[in-house]
Amino acid sequence: MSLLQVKDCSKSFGGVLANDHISLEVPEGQIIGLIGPNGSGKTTLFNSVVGYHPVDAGTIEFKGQEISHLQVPQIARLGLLRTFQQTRIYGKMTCVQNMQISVPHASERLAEMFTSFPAEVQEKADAILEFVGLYSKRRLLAGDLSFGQQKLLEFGMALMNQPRMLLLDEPTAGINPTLINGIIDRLKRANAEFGITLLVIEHNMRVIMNLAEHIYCLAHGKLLADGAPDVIRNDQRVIDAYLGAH
Amino acid sequence: MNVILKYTLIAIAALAAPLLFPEYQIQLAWLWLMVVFALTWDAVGGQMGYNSFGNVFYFGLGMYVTAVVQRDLYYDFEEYETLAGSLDTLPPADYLTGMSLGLAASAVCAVLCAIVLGSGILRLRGHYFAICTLGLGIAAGEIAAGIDYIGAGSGLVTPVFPDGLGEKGLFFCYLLLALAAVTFLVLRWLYTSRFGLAINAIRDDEDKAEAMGLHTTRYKTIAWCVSGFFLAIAGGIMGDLIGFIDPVDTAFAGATFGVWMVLMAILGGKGTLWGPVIGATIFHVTQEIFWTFLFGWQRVALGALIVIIVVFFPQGVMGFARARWPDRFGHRVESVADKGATQ
Amino acid sequence: MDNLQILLDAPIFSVQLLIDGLLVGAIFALVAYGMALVWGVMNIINICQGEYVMLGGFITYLLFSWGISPFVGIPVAFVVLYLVGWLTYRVVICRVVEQDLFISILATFGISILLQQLMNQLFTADVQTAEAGLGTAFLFNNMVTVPWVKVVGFVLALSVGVVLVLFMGRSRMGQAIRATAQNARAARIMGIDTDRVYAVTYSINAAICGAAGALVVMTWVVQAFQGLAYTVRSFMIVVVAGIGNLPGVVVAGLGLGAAESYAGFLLGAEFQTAFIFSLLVVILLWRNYRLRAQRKVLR
Repeated sequence: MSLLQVKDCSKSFGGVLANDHISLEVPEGQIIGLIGPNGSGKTTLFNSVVGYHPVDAGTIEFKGQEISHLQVPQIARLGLLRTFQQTRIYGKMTCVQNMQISVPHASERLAEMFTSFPAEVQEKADAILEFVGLYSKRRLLAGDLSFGQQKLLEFGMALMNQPRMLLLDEPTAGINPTLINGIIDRLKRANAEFGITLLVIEHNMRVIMNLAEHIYCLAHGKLLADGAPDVIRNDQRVIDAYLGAH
Repeated sequence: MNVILKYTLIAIAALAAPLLFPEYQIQLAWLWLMVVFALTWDAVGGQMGYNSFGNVFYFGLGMYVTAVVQRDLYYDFEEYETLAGSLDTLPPADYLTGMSLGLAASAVCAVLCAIVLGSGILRLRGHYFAICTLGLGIAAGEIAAGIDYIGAGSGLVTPVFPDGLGEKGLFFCYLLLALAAVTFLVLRWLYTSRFGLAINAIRDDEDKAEAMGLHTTRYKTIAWCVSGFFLAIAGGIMGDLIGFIDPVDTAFAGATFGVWMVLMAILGGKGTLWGPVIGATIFHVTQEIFWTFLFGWQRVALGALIVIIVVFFPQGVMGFARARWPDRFGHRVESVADKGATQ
Repeated sequence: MDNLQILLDAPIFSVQLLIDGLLVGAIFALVAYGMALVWGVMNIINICQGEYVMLGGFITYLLFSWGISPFVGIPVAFVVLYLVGWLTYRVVICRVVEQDLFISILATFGISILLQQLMNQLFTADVQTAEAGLGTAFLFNNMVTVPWVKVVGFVLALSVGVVLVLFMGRSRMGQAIRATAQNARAARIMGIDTDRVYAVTYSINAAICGAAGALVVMTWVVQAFQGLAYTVRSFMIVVVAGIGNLPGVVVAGLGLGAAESYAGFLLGAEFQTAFIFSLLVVILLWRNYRLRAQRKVLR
């Protein structure tokens, strides 16, 4: 059974149909890509999945549980996490604090809210900071990091949260091309070593073809095509959508 | 060791001050109140980023609840209303019992109100929260001014301080010092726990905090309850110190206390532990100087002071220090080689 | 609640309350329009809005006490408050305009306290009024009384509003203001002097409030500590109507006037202020509650 299953999902904003009966499936343990020209409804679909807005029609199931009626924090606590296109971190806190507060909150009891973090959390934060290459900056305020470093930190925070599945909104946008390979590598390792299923929005074709095992392509709010990277790469409809032929 | 020494010295100074300068006892009592104001505001406004103009609501609530409990325990309502302050003073034991019960009741009321009001108001963000709380504080004062049971617009007299409990100034000075100290220590403990990081995260980016699965509503409500809890107790004590509660000018004084608490926290440095304490001290001294030398124009000068602080010094003393000497606050790059050394 | 019985027994009182409310509501709408302008263009919630109204009122009262007709007060208050607004912008507002919203709220709150205490020192906390001496109209067998000055005030408030709308739509400056409201950075790149736009916007807002204050002192009263109530009224109107919605501002302003008129009658005049501030809390919570269905919050 798939980890995430979107069925016939529709969402419109004041007459503009941003998602029109979209269905997709993300099997456990895989890396799935989501591509499409600007304005094709990728981010809307992400927002629907993580609960930012209610969907107009359709169902979204995570681990077999219907989640389209749940609020954002509830969905996050189920283990379905997202990162933002405009990177978001806690700017006035240090990197370590950013990591610590990202521990899973699913089983947090009232009394636990007033305790300090145990030593394991500290060690894990350090380990993940090392994994994303920010260990030496751990005492700096996150807001003082460069954009690329913030992106890495946000990814690290997501790992800290031990999600079952991670939705990444353009993980390489605005990143120095030499760093992109590092990011691809870390995403693959997160998938392989931590067992996190990934759903990735990406504009950079080289990245997504390299990363994903299966790709969905959206255009004008509709699902245009889906298949293995090679199939998508040679699909005439996908090429037309990207090059603007109608 | 260093920390313990520092705290001990401050405690000794604070305990000795009213004995060394007896003529300043009431001033010191007000200073500790200001510290409580600034600390409790900062817990919600500075640390959590929910800038409230309405925290004075809990102060006024505590004042009224304590006074009403004290009155209804030992006096007849009719008699008290007509004879007000000229009734016999209570025996010290009764006074203390009434006061403690009153303070306990006010703290409970404040926490309940914080939960109920918070369920709606804490869902507002940014400036909508600020202005909604402003409305809350003023509305509370105006409504209190219309309720006969608590003296309506003509105010409520609190029981007279009895003989046999020592000097009034000294008693309240130490009482408020104790409250300020407890508030400080509780907040200090909270800020080092998971709670502190969570409310900081809410301040920096609440959407992100929600997306990471934080129990934001729970954390926000608790922060508001903590703030209200201490403010209500402060209110109860102040009611007994001042001896008279005016609904708009002492209890729900949004345009004075309500703004001062914000100003003191900003002056000292929002979102820091010591900032509010420093800010409250500077502000209180400044205000006393204004009061002494500006005859009547002091409130105008205070308005100007607010503008000047906000416009030219919004980062506050601690914020300035942090930007100037980031090393002292531990914000430095550590080389990977350090890792072995620190562990 | 005894007054409710009166209202049910004699529905004609309802007409009286409605007319009173609508006439004063136009002035609320005018002040709210100014607040929406500053909010929309500069992203500042001007807490000293009500103090500018109060200042306009005191200027007119001062002229009146020297024997000058309060109608002269309208243009005079307009001009004087334009200068006050300009000065405030240059000294304070220009330093907070692109900062965190809370900083500007607090800064304008400081100005508000400064101005109200200043007026308290100069004019005491007494209630003042300026009698225009236009007489009163009697309607429905003398059951309903309408002071002519309120009608004139209503018409003038709407006229000032119309002139402003024309200014925004037709003049170069108006276009620059609207462009800055949509995207200040783009406007700056296209060569608009946004600093000047901000200064003009803020000053026009102060001037509108001044004119409104002159109308207030003629039709009602002026007092040193009344300002915050006007600020809160404007804020409520803008929140209900939305920032760019002019017809909404007019409707909400008139509606608020009527609601206050009824509330003052039913609850008693001593609860009027309590009503305004409680209504603010209720409106904000209600708006936010409605948005929650779409999982959004007011922002």
